[in-house]
Amino acid sequence: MAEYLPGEIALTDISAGNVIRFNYKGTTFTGTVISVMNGAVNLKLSNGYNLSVPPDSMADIEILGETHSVPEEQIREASKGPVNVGILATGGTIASRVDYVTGAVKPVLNPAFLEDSVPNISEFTLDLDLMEPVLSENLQPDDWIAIARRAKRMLDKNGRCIILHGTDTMSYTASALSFMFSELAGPVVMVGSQRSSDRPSSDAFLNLEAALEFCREEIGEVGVAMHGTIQENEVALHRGVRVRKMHTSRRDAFRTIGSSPLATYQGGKVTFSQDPYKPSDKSALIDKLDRNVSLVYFHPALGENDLGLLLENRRAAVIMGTGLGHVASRFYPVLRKSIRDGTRVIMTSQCIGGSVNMNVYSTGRELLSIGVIPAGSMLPEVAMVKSMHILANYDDEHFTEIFMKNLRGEYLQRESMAGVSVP
Amino acid sequence: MSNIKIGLEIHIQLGGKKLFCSCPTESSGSFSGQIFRKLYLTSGELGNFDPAAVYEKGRGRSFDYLISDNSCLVEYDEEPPHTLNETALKRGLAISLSLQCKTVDIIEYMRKIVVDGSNTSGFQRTAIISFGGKLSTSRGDVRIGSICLEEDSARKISEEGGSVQYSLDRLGTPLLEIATEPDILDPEHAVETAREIGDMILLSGWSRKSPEAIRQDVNFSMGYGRVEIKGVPKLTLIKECLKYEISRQEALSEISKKLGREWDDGISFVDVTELFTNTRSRTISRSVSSGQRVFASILPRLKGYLKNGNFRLGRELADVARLYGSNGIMHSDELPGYGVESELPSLLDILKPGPQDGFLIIVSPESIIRRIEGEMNKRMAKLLSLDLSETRYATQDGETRFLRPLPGGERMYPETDVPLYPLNKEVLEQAESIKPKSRADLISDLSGTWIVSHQDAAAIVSGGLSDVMEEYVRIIGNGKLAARLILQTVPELAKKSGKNLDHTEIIDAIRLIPANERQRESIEMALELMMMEGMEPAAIASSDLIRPLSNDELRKAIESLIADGSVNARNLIPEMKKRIRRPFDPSMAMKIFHNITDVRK
Repeated sequence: MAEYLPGEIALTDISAGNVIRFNYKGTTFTGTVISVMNGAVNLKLSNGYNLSVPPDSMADIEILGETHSVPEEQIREASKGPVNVGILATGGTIASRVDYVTGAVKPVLNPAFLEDSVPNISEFTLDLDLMEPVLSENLQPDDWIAIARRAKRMLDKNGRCIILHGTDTMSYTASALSFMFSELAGPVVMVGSQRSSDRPSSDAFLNLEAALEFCREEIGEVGVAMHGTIQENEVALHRGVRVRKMHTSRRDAFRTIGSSPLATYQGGKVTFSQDPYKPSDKSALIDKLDRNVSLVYFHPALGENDLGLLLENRRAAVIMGTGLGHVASRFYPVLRKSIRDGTRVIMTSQCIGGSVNMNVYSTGRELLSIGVIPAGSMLPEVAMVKSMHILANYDDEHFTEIFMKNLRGEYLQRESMAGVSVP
Repeated sequence: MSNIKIGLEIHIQLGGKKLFCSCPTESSGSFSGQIFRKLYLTSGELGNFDPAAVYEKGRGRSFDYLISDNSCLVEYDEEPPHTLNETALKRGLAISLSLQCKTVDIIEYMRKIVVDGSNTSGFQRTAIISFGGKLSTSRGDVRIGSICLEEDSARKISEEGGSVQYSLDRLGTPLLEIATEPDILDPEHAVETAREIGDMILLSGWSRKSPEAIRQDVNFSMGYGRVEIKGVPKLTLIKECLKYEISRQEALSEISKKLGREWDDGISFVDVTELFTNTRSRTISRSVSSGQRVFASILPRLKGYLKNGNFRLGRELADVARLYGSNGIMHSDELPGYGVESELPSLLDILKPGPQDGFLIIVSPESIIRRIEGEMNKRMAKLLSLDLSETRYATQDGETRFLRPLPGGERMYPETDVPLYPLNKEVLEQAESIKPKSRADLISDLSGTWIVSHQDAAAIVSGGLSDVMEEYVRIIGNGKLAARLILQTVPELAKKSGKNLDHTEIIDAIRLIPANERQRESIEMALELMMMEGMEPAAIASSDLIRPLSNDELRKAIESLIADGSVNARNLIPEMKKRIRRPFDPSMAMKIFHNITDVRK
């Protein structure tokens, strides 16, 4: 099949897929051209290595033929076990494959490849709904709404739903779904991975295996299933409104803040450490969100004007204050003005762990008297999403009352040390 | 044997820091915990599965990684790699230049899929840094195909059943892989080639100071496919392994001639556990009581080929069993034996082997026996068809054993966590400036620079002490004295005191002595105090004991000795050395002695 083209071969004659032979610094190489770009020809050699060669150091180029084009991965028929489960793929590492040409990890539409390495998948009938894949850092509140609507369809049809999601903003989506579903007839388990599934060490397979098992349980809330430790044998199910990504890269980056996770999956068994919300007869969705909410990180160098700008014309603003819920006294006038202008100002703590308590120091008491709403143990991001939910769906006058109510378990009732891995 | 082809892959660990993180390459040897992992099969670049990976997946093993003090999130596969270790890169490039290799323009790291658990990530990071070099040997040039700078794998500690324990101490250590073309003529030539390359790097002082710092893989073929023999632990064993492999392949070729190239999936195991309820074989009874079963199969036409002179098909099948965690097998060429005897008549009743047939017994969990059966049939078919290509490993006594199928070409894809690294002029110039030299060049350089004898220079170079020599000269400014300290004084004191000599410690101690007092006598006295009497270096430096006697002090000391009547011209110096613990100049002492006695005369 070798096709020898006599005469000089110019760089412009070479294109991806060509098998070429050439001389590079006195040695003859044969390889398949992957790309001709950025001033280098990138090739895959027969020994598996890639080689990038500047065109001006290539000599005696011959085109030997073409490689077979890479066959499209076949979309296999999903498994047909006794338990129905809806799988909504939104993108992210767990629904990504490596692009073997560039090596970059890209989202894919077909998560069927997960099946080879997830042992219990044959016990389920998967109802796949593949959204246009998105890296989770690109998701916006409108996407949360789209995800919620599609998740509801999956729930109505299958009784339970798994959402494959990127990890960067998974806790925001989890929190949004938690508030939007006022009733849930079954579990919504969000699952991601910190290592893409092309890697033999990927955490995706065990996370999905566990997510499927969590789905068999009597659960009426939104959870996040991710590795509980860095060992490949334990997955934790976190309550959607209490979970946070606490590490950039570790498998066990997701932690329930201030208490133990809802449940763990280990050795093929699910063990609950808290009672989950029980499922309702049917699922109900309140799917409006108001984006006009700020989340502000207070720091010693923050200027009064900066804060003013971040609060201006906002319907609500969540401040991540220091310690028990404080900002510098120089901000009192700005806060007073914003609150007078109708912005709900909510205080959370950048400590992440623990509750705000604004009665201990005079600063806190002063802020309360100005009208700042303390968010208790609620996580800052959750307070933001909850505000977006309340503003869009309830009367303005009830805002504070509803905000202070424990709707989905976002407030810790009590905080002990038992089972807590992050304060 | 003209069709024999031999190539070498020499792996050298570079000391210092790891390739993609700041962990040191050395550890204290203690562990602070362990991490449990599994690895999952992933398809390769072309959507295919790598045969070596598929094979490993079939074994379904799990891995425990012991956390050493020289490992971090990068080794745990809990964090992406940091930037490439530039020191290791420059040294790799310098070695490349010494071997006349051409460096690549752009370094591109790849992930080489390895699912035997030896990498927490399931792949090894590796990049070609140079190619197309050559090494001169006494029997002609051996071409250097490529040099790669890669991450070393985790160190295997133990394996039990389906669980393997690795230590993370070695994982990520910079590993230079120098691959020759198959230009090596015979086993002796292989040893010479490996020695030449190893020598150059040992002399550079860049390799880890550990017996395992250099390992060699041997690529071998004699017309039946390529065999890669992994991890030959000692240079001299290269020869043994090659001889073993040649005789193994010759025997297999003979077997194939006699039996033909076909194998009709003749291994089919039946459960014969019942026969072994009262067995005298301890191996079998122990395994059975732990829930395993005994299986047996005839081996059609294999009688007399299992273990008979050079014919060792029994071992080839045992290799398969071992990889599935079974304690080997027993076969007809070695039975009765191993406590299996009374069971044989009933066993033969069940198996009904023909006159040419052999049989085998294996103890295994029931769950994997069909897989073992399939793998054994596959292996027999492959061996008889004389496709002997595979990855093997070297044993401590110079034999080779089956390890896994050869990995396919699709086992690699780009490591995108590591950006492309263009080699600029500056890096290459730095590499050129530190290019390691040959032994002869090193010796003549050292002898010329520090004005020491050729003999001393050779001893220092061979002892890997060039760096130490430079340190000594830097603080005492005298090459001859440095050579004397390194080659005589310190080793002698070490021997006398029974203490380990640590040049760094000694150099630090000398540095405490004021620069103008660092003469031979003072330094030797200081070392004696330090090594023989365990005196603290700071105390030594400020002690009068290392200060040479001034002429006045010398005169007083000699006068008092003369007054005692205990000295004459012959015994003055030894007597003074005995009585006066401080250094002094003997010729000056003699002069003063004569001066005094002459005057008295």
